Amino acid sequence: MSKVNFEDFKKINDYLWEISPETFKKMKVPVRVYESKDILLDSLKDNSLNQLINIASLKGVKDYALAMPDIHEGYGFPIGGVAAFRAENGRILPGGVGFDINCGVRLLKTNYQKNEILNFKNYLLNELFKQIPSGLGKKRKAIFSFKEIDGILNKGVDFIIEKGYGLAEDKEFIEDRGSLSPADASKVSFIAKQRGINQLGTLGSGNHFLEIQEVEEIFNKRVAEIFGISKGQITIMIHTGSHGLGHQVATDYLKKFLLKSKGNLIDKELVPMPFLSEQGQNYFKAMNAAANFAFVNRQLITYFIRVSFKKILNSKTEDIRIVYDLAHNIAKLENGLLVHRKGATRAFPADHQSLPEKYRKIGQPVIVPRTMGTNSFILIGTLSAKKSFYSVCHGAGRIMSRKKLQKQFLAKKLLNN
Amino acid sequence: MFEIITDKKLFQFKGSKNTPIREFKISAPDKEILLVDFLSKALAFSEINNEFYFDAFFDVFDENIAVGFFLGLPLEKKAIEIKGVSYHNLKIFQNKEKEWQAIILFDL
Repeated sequence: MSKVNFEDFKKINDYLWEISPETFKKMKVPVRVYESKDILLDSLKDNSLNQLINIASLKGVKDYALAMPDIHEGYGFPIGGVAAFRAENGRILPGGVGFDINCGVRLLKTNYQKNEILNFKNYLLNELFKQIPSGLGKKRKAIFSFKEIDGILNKGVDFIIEKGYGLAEDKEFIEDRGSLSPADASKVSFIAKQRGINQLGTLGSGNHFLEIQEVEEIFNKRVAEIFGISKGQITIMIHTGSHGLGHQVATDYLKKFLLKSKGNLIDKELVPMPFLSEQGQNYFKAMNAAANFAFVNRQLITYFIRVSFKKILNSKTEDIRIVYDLAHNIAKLENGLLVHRKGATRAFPADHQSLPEKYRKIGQPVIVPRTMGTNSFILIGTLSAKKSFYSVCHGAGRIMSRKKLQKQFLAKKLLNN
Repeated sequence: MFEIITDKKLFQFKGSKNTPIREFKISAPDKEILLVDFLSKALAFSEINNEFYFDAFFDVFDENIAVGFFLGLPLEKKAIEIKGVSYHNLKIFQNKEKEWQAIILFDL
């Protein structure tokens, strides 16, 4: 494997660095890294930028292999990595989407101010824990039959809103209206459906969370007004994905692709398949179906949040509305390109036809959660993101591995602090 | 894998007539894919049936094929949740004692 050094980079500006394709023989396009010098030096400590060079060497890759500021080493493809492939002769990479297909974030706004809920905080938290299973291995009694799971995989959020699990307007504020196509439930294995059926409407474990938040600061009054966000308002952020179903789709298709692959692979997790091949299309349809499952999961969690608020605060369904819901582990066809975003957020600018009417004049909301207990941000997409295929960061990044963290921050020490 | 998912002490158990049995049949072009597929199968069975597996028996086993069954028990509490099995930095090798070892990264 080629080992990248700081000296291999050319500085484009203070926050953009490039490795030209001449640096390593196999590269077909440059690698571009959106980071300050300090963060770039940090990124060189793990294998993420070497992984990006591998991606820049794949057939059909377009313009650049990109690193967002929160890049860190992933399986084959770095988290915080973005790569676009020409649809007609490019590749699709399950590794460029990740195991948790359509892991994403949803932000809800409420009609409540902090002082209105403070006295009910414990009741509300208890009810939320009761309504939404969370943590290691937590499941719920299946809400839907296997036949209905197929409907969810094929149609996404539409399928459950028709059944009363949300407001008709909810889907307007979900990326791609909560329904990616082409999606085909028949391309998803029965094992994947079995893994997912009891997990719909659950939060999961790992870094997934549900956080009740207070709006602390407004940086752009006009944009905030359009989002319906104001200082002191209570918002709720949900971070979760497609659970075992998405993992199984990724596992199944990684194996299928490996069985078909010829020649030496740089990394088994990075196995590519021609996008227009039968297998490539099957994965695309299965991935979209798993993404629909994840959109529905976040919609069901929203439903149970509304139920909890109603029970404790006697609120109405309309008191909790969606600001936006976005995917940050996905591959999408955009403008003739298949854009892989693994731990990266789509950020379309104003006037983009994919945006909800309400946001068309300002741009797409970009939700950036940070470590729990610290501030999160809502940003907007702008035209300057064009060079990154309209992609930006997805979170705070990771400066320490979980293992290193566990060693340094023992539970006891954390509690004492 | 299940030693880290659940309580290690449970692995003393040797089974009874009610012990759940899950059959598997896996083929692969190399031992890396075979191992990842084998562990992924156990993980999927575990998640679907709420079980952990303390042993596996093989009717057929070589570098390209594994046919057999897992012996399990109900999984009451997880210590950790493994969501997937990766090929990332996967190493399968024989140690000095000629025993096979694998270094494998799980997605948590």
